[in-house]
Amino acid sequence: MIEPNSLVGNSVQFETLSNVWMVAIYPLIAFAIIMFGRWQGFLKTKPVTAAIVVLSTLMSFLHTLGVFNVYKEIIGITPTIGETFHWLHVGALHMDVGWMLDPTGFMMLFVVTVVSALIQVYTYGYMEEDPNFHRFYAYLALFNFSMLALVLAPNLVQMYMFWEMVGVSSYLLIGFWVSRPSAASAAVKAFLMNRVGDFGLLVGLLSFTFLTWAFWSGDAAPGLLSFPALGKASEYLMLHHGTAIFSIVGLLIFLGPVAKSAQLPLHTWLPDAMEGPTPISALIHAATMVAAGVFLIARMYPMYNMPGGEMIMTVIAWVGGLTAVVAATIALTQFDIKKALAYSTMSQLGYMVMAMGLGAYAAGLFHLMTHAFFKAMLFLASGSVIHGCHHEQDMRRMGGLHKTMPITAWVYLIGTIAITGVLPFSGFWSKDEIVAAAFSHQTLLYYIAVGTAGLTAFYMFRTYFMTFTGQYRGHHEAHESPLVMTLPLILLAIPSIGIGWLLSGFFVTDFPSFATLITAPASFHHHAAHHINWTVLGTSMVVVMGGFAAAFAMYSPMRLLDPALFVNGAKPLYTLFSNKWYWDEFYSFIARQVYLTVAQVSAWFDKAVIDGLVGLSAFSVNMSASGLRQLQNGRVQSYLLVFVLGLLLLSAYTAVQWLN
Amino acid sequence: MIETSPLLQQLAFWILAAVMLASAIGIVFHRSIVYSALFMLVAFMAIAGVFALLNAPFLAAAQIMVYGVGLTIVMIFGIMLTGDQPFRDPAGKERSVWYALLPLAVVAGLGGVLSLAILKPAASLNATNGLFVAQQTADFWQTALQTLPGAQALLEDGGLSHIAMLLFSKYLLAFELASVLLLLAMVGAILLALRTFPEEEQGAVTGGALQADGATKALSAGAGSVAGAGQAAKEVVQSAAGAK
Amino acid sequence: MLDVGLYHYLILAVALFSIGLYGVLASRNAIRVLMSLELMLNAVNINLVAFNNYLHLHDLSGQVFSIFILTVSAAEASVGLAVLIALFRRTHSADMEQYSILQG
Repeated sequence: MIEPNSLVGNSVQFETLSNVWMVAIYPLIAFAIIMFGRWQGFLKTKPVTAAIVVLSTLMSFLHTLGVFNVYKEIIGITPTIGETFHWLHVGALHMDVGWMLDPTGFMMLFVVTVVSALIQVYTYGYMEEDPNFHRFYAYLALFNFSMLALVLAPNLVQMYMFWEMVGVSSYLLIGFWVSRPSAASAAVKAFLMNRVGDFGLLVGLLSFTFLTWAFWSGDAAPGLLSFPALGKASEYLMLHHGTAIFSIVGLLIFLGPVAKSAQLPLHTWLPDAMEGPTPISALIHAATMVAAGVFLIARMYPMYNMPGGEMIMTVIAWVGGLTAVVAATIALTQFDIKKALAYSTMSQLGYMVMAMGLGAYAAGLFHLMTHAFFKAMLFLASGSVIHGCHHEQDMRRMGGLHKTMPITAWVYLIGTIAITGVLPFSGFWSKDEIVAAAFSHQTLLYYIAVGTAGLTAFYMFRTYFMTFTGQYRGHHEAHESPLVMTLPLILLAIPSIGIGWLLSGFFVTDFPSFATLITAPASFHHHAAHHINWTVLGTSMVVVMGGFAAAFAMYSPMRLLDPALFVNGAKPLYTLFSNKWYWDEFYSFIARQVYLTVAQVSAWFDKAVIDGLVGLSAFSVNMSASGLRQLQNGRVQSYLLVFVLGLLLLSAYTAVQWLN
Repeated sequence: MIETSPLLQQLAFWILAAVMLASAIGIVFHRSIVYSALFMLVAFMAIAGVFALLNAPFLAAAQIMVYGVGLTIVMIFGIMLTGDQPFRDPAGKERSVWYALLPLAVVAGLGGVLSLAILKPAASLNATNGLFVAQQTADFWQTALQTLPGAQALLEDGGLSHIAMLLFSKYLLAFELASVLLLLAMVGAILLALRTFPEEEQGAVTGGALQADGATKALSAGAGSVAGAGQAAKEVVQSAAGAK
Repeated sequence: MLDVGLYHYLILAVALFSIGLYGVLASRNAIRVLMSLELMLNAVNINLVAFNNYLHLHDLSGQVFSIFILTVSAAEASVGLAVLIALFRRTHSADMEQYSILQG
């Protein structure tokens, strides 16, 4: 990690780069102002609260922009900038806090701040009626702080802390409508599922630290688990403990992203998390927090993507690929618009994780960015629909909303086209790179990726057709959302359309392409697909068009095919998909049967053996006490007898001593 | 006694010992508590006889007067005051046999150990020095009377003046303390045995005064109840106002 | 055998003391306990006087001690009886079994 001082030599303003941590602090200040203001009772105006939070996010954005302007001058010299302070000295180890930024970090900062700011504006319209409006904004600010600090973290220790902080924020926001039992249990479920993954992450980090203790010890050693030193530490780990231990540690750490990014098998919390308000679904459970898992994989790349880490990479790729296809199949059968989008999110996250596992570092992160924009937009559009239909989420009671909600419908259509990966839209550029990477590495995963693309086209257009075309099937009069909600939608539509080709490097040549900006640290695979693979492109386009055609045939107003035909034709598959592959039932089985049996056995053990021992000791005390109580009978003569007995023993002893 | 023959002395000892132990057993074991008191009188008399044998005539007399007369009478008074059926042990739940056996075992053990401690050195000393076991011979007294002031005092007046000298010189402090002890015992006994304590009675009197319903009665009850008088006067005024 | 010396008196005192002790420990009647107590004190008196007579004739301190014990036992008896009467007033019995109010 370079010292800030060395930047001064490059005619860079020192102040600009020394206060980068402030990026994360603005939302924290906003959070403190709101909480303190509410506590003191003077912050009562809703626009003021919203303005404070939006302003803090804008400050973060502008600060990031300012830093980036300085940074892009020196990107060739020092791709990683940062600043750390000693925090703790534990024996020979020292832990640092501070900040670190590289192109990946900047990308995340931009995505988080832009999407956050737009969603916070949107929230004003969506949550205006809510009695806990201010609390919601406070949580939003708290989440923003946690997420930005996570991105800025220079080492795994700090990252882990904010990793948990975003988990807490997510918990608070899923369960925001505390009076709903379903929201409360969804919040608990999300927290518990993440706990499983975070436990793996924690054990992984601890074992990593333990196994590479000598590496981090000493005065000259780098700060504990700091990212720039991670590659060297991984080599040390590999050298001293072998591939098996190395892989186990790596996979334990990977458990964190598995839970956070809702990958199989720890994914079941994400659909339930849709119980939270829709802006939260858009911000946390589509655009930013769930992508933190992918971000962590990216940060762990020095470890995963080194010779010997192939096993970890393979597991990551397969987990991602399977998640993509499983989630897509579930999404086919959903009628709740938010649930369908949630499974879509899961599927897209699977794409990202698969890309990371295939070594397509830039492609994975590129998809993360484009997905953040169009999926946030899709969620917000669905929120607009829900808002307009008076909190109706079932698509079977929508339809024909194109007439009443034109802006939302157009925006949703743009998002749908973007996610399916039609040529000029952003989803195409990122997804095509992933598919191409799969094509060049693992044929089976390539088929999965392409097939999932077809499924994506089908279910996304299905939701579009069911919601916006045909006849309105609801009971209440639908209406278009106010400008404060539609404006963020329109603004998000711009990057959804344009960010792909802008950063692809094909059309706008004076702007650096994403793949040249974002390069994997210690890249091993050297994936450099800077040309379009026409075979891959053609295949995926054909499959996508097939998916669109199927959706059009079944769900467009023309109704060329009856969906029931397929539902009945492939009954077992439909049952499997609509029951979400029975994951929840599987966990219930584990919880009810296995865990409960173990619990009952241990309960029996506790009652019979532990309580028995405790009871025995109590019984023996009781017995000896009631035995001794006989001495305390209140009779002077008994006391005297004991006294004389003592006298007898004493005199006998003395007599024996004396007479001998 | 110095003058008496050894044989008579021996005979007296054995008879006195037998009477003493028999009556002691009677004290402890006789069914009737009154008979026990009478056995106690006999035992004290026998002890007085033993004192006389041990050249302590003053003590023998004191024993008869204090124990034989005084204490026995006190005990009989106690029996009269406490026992509703003085010729029987108090009726009640039967005691377990262990209440007799355990003390018996302990007492037998203690007595055995003490006897052993006395007899074992006695058996070894017997051969070397007859003084400790044998009757004091005439030769012993010949030397004793010439050398030992105690023996001389015994010869003069049974040791009475000597004891008096000791009491008022060497043991003066203990003597005075004993008198204080007696005084305290007397005061304590009176206090304990009183049916009601003086302050309780005084409290009862004050309470009565406060309960008096008229101002005149409260005033006449004495100086200790001025407040009570004021209270009562107020009550009178209030009742007068109520009447109007 | 019939020769009487110091040890005879001591053994006599032990016997008297033991009988008195047994009476104190085993009697049910509180008055009898007090009487047995007097026996024990008298056993001690016998010891003192016997030692004085056989071993310490240059003065009569043993007899003086006996007088003190006599005094103490008189005080003890009077206080003991007073306590007994107070207890009797409370329990209406001279039975030692009734005097178990020390029990916690």
